[in-house]
Amino acid sequence: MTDGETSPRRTLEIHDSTLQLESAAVEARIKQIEEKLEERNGKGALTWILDVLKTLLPSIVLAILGFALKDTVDQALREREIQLAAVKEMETLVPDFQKTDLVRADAQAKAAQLAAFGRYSVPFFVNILEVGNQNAGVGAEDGLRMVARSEPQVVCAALQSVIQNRTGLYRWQTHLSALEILGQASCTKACRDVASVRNTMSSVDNYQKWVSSPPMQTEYDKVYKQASDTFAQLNRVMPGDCK
Amino acid sequence: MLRNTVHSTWIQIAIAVAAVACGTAHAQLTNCKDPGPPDAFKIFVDEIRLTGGSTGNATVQDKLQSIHKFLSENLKASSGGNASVRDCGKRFPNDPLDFDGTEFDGLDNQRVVLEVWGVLDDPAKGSGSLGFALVPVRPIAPPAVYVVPGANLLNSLRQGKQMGAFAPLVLGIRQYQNRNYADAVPLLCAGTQQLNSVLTGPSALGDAAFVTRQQELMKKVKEITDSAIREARKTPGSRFGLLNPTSDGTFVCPQ
Repeated sequence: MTDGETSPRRTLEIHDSTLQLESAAVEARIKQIEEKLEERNGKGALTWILDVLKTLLPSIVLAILGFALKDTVDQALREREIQLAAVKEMETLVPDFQKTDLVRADAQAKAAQLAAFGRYSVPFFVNILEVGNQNAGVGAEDGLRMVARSEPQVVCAALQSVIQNRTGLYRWQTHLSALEILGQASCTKACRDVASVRNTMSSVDNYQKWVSSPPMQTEYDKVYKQASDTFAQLNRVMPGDCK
Repeated sequence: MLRNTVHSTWIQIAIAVAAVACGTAHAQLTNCKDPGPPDAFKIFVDEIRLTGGSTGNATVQDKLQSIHKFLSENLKASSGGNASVRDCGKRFPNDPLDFDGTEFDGLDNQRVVLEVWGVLDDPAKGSGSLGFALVPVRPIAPPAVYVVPGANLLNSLRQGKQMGAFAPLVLGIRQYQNRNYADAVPLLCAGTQQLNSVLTGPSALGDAAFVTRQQELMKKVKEITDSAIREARKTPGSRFGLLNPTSDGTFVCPQ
């Protein structure tokens, strides 16, 4: 009789000699079955655990990643909230900054107030350089210098992108201011871009294609001289590395 | 992070307050009310005021308006359409020192070649002074700000172009700096001629100090004019090719 086979109902005949023999065989069989069952139970638990793990693994990974990313996302959200709050507060100062009857000293004072918003004020100052009136422009330059004292990387990156632009997004006056402040703020990472401006401006006709308002010869000379001066300034900060 | 932001904001506010506290009394010039087109050369005409800044009665106000009007027309005529004359509203320097390096740079970047303002000392006699900031002159004869006293400003302005003599001069210098030599020569010559008539003759304007400074300026302008003619002559077929240098190598302005 093998495992799994159903035995037909029959009458058990008990004889003295055979009873002992059959009892031992049954015992052995039971033991065999128990061993098999134990073996099967062990393997089954492992399979079961593996199955559970397979199901849970993506969730566990996701939970770990979520935990790790939570802080970053929270920070980004908080940063965004601060930025929005800063922009709202700056909005109240901006109209005063662009008034026609503003004298230079007042423009500088307003710029100082705006510079207190740090990195959030940088795009605003760059825009004022581009579209602002005379005194507001002076104030915007001062504001960028103020922010550069506490957060130089932000100012450097913004002004570096100004001088990198050659598709007429900015006026030559904005290029001029950007070059000046890049030197004053020791923006050594902009060194190659400054060198590139100086080396590839070539002529007033060529430079006219880079900017929105076509400069005259004296204006081209002014930008070229500023690029050379800034390059020299940055070379003093990083002798030999600025090529 | 928030703590860092707050901390850094406080530092920035401190810087801002310090900067405001250090604000100087100088540089009280407002923006020009109507700065004009960015591409054109411009002449800024500021307010004409009574000495001490008082407003005066209606008659005095009329007189101030007349001086402003004649001055603008005078400058329009003498610039010969080469510059746009702009009414700058209430813009007015408290002191000639308001025209510092930053102010000159700002004007130069806007293509302003000349800025004029006036002070009426005695409304009855019409005596006062006119101030001129000659923007392109700054690199060659700093500080390039001149105050011209006059016994009767309105009469002087009515008499002719004299008060606008600086206009062709600065336009000529700017053209020279732009290496447009052929365009620079007629303007430089016209400016020199007009300014000479302001400095000499029966209706000469200005005091001794003004005349001395003007003579120094005229010397520089003469050098520039000679250089402009020399450079213009290098162009084949130039109308200045027929001009011959004098024994000392200088040129006489073509008539």
